[in-house]
Amino acid sequence: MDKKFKVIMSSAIMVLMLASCGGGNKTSGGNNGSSKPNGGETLRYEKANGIFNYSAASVSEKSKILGQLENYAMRHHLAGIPLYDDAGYELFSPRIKLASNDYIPNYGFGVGESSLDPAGKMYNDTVFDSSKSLYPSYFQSYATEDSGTFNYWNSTGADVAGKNGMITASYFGVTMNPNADGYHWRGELARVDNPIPLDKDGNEIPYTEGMTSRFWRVPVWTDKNASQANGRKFEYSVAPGSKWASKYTGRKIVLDDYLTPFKVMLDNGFVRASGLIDDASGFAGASDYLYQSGTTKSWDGEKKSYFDGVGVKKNEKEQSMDFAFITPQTRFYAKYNTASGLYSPMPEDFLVDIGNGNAAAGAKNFGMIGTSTDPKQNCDNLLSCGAYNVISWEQDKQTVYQKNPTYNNASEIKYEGYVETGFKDEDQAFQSFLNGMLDEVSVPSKEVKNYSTDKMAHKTDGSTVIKINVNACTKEQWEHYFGKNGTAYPHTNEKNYWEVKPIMSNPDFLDGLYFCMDRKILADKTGHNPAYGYLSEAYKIDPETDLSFRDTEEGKAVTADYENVKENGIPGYSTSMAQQLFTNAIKKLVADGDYDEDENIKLTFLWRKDEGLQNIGQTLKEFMETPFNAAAKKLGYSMTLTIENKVAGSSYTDAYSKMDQGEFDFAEGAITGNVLNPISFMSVICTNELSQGFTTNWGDDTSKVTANPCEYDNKSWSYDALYTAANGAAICANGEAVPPVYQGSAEHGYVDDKGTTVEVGFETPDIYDDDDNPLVDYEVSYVWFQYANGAANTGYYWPVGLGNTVKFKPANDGHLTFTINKGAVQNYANSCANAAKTDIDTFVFVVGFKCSFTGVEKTVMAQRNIPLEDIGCNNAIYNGK
Amino acid sequence: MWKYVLKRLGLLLITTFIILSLTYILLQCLPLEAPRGNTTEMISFYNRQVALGYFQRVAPGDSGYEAFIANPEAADFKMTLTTGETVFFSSLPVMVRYVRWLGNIVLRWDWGTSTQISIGQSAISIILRRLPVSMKLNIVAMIISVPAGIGLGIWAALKKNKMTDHIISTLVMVFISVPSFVLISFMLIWMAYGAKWVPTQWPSAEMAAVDWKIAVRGYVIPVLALCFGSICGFARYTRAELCEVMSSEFLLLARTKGLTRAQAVVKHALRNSMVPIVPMIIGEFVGVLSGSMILEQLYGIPGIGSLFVTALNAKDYSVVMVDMAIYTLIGLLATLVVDLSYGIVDPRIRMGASK
Repeated sequence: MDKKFKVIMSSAIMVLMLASCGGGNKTSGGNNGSSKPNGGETLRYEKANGIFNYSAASVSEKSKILGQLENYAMRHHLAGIPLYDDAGYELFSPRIKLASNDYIPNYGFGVGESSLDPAGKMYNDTVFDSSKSLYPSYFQSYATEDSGTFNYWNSTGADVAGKNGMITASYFGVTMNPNADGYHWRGELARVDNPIPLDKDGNEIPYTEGMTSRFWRVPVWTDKNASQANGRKFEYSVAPGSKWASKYTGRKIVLDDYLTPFKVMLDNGFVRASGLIDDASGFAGASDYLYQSGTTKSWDGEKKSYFDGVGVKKNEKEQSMDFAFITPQTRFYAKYNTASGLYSPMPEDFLVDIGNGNAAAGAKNFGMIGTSTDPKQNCDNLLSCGAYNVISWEQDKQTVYQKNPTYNNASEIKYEGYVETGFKDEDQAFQSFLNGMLDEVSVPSKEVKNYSTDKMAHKTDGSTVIKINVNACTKEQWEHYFGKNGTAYPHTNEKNYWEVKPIMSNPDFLDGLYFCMDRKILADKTGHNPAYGYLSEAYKIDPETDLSFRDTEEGKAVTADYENVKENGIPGYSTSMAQQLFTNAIKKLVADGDYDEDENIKLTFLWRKDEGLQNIGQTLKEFMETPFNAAAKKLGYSMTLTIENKVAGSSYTDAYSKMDQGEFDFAEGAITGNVLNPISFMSVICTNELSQGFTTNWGDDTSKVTANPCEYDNKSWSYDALYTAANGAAICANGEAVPPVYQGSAEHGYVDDKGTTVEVGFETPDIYDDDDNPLVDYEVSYVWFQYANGAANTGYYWPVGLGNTVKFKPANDGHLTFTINKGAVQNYANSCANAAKTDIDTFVFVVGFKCSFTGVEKTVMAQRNIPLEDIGCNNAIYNGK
Repeated sequence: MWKYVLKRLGLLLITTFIILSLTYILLQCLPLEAPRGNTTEMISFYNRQVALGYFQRVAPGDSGYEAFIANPEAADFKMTLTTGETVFFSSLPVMVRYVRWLGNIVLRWDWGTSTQISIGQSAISIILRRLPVSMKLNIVAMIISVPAGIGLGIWAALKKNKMTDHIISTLVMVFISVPSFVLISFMLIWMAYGAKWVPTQWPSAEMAAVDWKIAVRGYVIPVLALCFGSICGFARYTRAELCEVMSSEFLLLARTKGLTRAQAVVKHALRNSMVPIVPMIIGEFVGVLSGSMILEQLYGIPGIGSLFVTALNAKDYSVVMVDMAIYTLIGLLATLVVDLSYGIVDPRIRMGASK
């Protein structure tokens, strides 16, 4: 080992050790004094207190924040152990002339804009056998999954988004640059290339660089203005053989159609409605509407008035869609968050027709394959305003897309159509390509060696990092997340508790695992690229300039300590460093009495699919076991590590379920998404509800300020608090994010008997400006009484308007107070007892507060249980006994 | 006879009922695979379970709500709405689900909807769309394999212990021993990818409707794959039966009475040897039908065999149940027809006749 290497190695070990124990940041000279994390160690900066909104921060500031978030995840082992990305190779037939021979990140080769020579050759110099296809001049594609639906509103099928994209259009789209070296955004259904900022009253305001706003206007093409579109058409089209062909082919897009998809998703509670209520990208009032409106109310009456509260409105005068987001958006993200095929216009009468007179039924039927054995008769539930029309559909066998002549950019579509042939798996598709029957195919991992240098092969960039996910919980942490009252996934029966292994929460052990991976070997075996950090190159911190976070100073800094360690020139790999870290781990574990010196430590490694296990399972096992066992031997111990590889279940989702429920030591897996908004994507690290169930690594609680916390703006933050502040606004107390109103438990509120009235107070965080004015503006969005019997909420709901019954007083000494008429409470209780046919002894006061702060507007629910006796009322007895 | 048939039909229905009931109950005992993801997705999933009758949604005012409030862990999913309403989703006991499932079938002929294969579509319609392909394929396979198998068996029997018999018997043993998926793969490599005589995949319905030659060529590999086993089975069985009959005393008597060898074989030997072979034809049909599961997967045939495998992997139990019902019914009906066929082939056998 040369001297230079030793120096690098020792420095790196030191950095990691300090980082792991938090000592690296252990100073007391911060400009805001010192404070302590939950563990009691001193922090460099004071914990964040107040309201913070970094959603409009510059790219460089966002890069710093993302650097902190990723760094935290890596050092706390919540990012798992990155192995390689999913880059690979695509083969194209010679008859395809690609728009770009080089892969454009997050765009591809521009296959949709490429051209096809029908007289050209297929792979291996073969000629496409036109006797085997009715569509020889169409692009011959393939699929290994067919969910039987194009209904992206309500399907999670992996194939559905792609299918839906063929028949839908969006407000904004991307297209390749003229010199084919990148892509740019432009208006598609929108009459402008960027949305227009509005003030809160809906008036257009001038755009200034970097500005943010909750309110944005998107002028759209409709029947009223399509004549000015230079010949572009804005019409629907259906397959020629469809029963609706005469009614809908050529039907113009009208403004109402733009509203339909939002109504459809919210009214029916479709799975994709989640995007509409998401704090970072969703719309104001959508959450209230989704959960309040129900499905039984009439659209002519109550429901329509509810929808008025949703921040998605049509503007007849401007022929535009006006959006009110929950969180202020930059212009790019206002565009990005509205540029989805989910919001493609849809005539409501089409849904009524395919729903046999019922729009809700039609919304469910939309996109669903028909029941005929004739593929041409299976497209009746489809309607297109996108680039293609589906003209034939035989599930799992073949889907035929024909160019839609009325697509708004029809002149740019070079293919006559697409044929998507169904195959059992990628291998079968690959054989078909070699046989000259396909125009494009992905090279399977096992064939990479043979085809990576093929003249028709094109390398793609990776967007997803495949990792070893780790369950780094201590026993206490595991019980916190997964015990009887677990916050993530409660295990009601202790017999089902996972056996937490002490070694899994040892930071030296986990760091050692990072350095024992020869990522070059892994990359060669899988045909991908080595990965060193949590985020791949595909994640753009500035999507407008295509700047990858990995290429920024902060992005490089996160992985520098890891990548600078090298053995045989291979970054992030050092068996000697791994052994050193394992030695430290073993010493500590034995000293703490967690393991005996001769113990055989067995850890389980779950694989998503057998293919992965077969490919690199044994290699990874050896990478992990060999240096560990060598380290133990060097210490004179007979301790051994055994990795037990196994496939999690019959489906790859079984592995994710195990990760989701904390029932694993190691698991292979990857989570990806939102590459153009990486800060928003970082929610998947959170160990609470912010992650929306996508957490795959477990350990430190991200809602707490732990040792070695996130540091930004000269403050110490919990991961969640910094994440929240970066994606909107966070109210922080002691570095942790708190809600604008506490939920109403006894410790966060009060009930005062005032004689004929009762006063209920909901505690708010102590957030005031220098003049003692509250920084959060509260309005009451809704009030309900709910009645209960004992601890059980058996009762009934009664909508209560603010008036004589309830009076609201804004913030008063840290409380939001309501004065409630007791007589009214008693009357409601009595009538509810009879309606619910049960006795009532408690009323539950439920309030929805519309909270506005730093430009964010969100509704928060709080409630308080109040026994009737406590306020001098009588229990309500059900008279019908 | 008719009384016997009716009795058998009654037993068939009872057997089907028992098989499907057990299958349903066992499938329902498997753990539920709820989505992990955003709340809306989970709500949608649980609402679908409620619609299918597998779960109950317990809201304030519903019976049992108190119990869930006291012990929220008893519910599979708990949701608190912004209105303050807490709603529980809880799986119903297996037997309750079973009764509901049964009720839906008996009262409304509703076999449930697909939860994975074609979300929201009725399981029956999915099966009906795919059934014709599987049936056509299997019928063609039987039409070819019966005469070919029996013919080879007769030929081998007539040439007993000669070179022809040895060759046929050897080939029969080889093809019976080689697993069908090996044969399919071999034929795909040789006939489809190599010689390019036939398509590498089952042609689309659209293509087959337009070009009958393609449709016919598409049948070559799957029919051959299905036929090999059947032909061998028939040949082996026919040879054995015929050899036995031909060495029997009554055939010797027929020859001594002056019949030619051909007359003795056709009029007496064949007729007698067919008694066990005809029922075998029907039994073989069921075997071929189940054997097409792997074939359909490998050759991309959109039939009910591949659907069964896909539905099982995807845990789409409604589709699995209908597929199961089809296979069960076909199997049991075949058994009935087999039993009845004994009487047709050999008039001495009387079904259901009292002694």
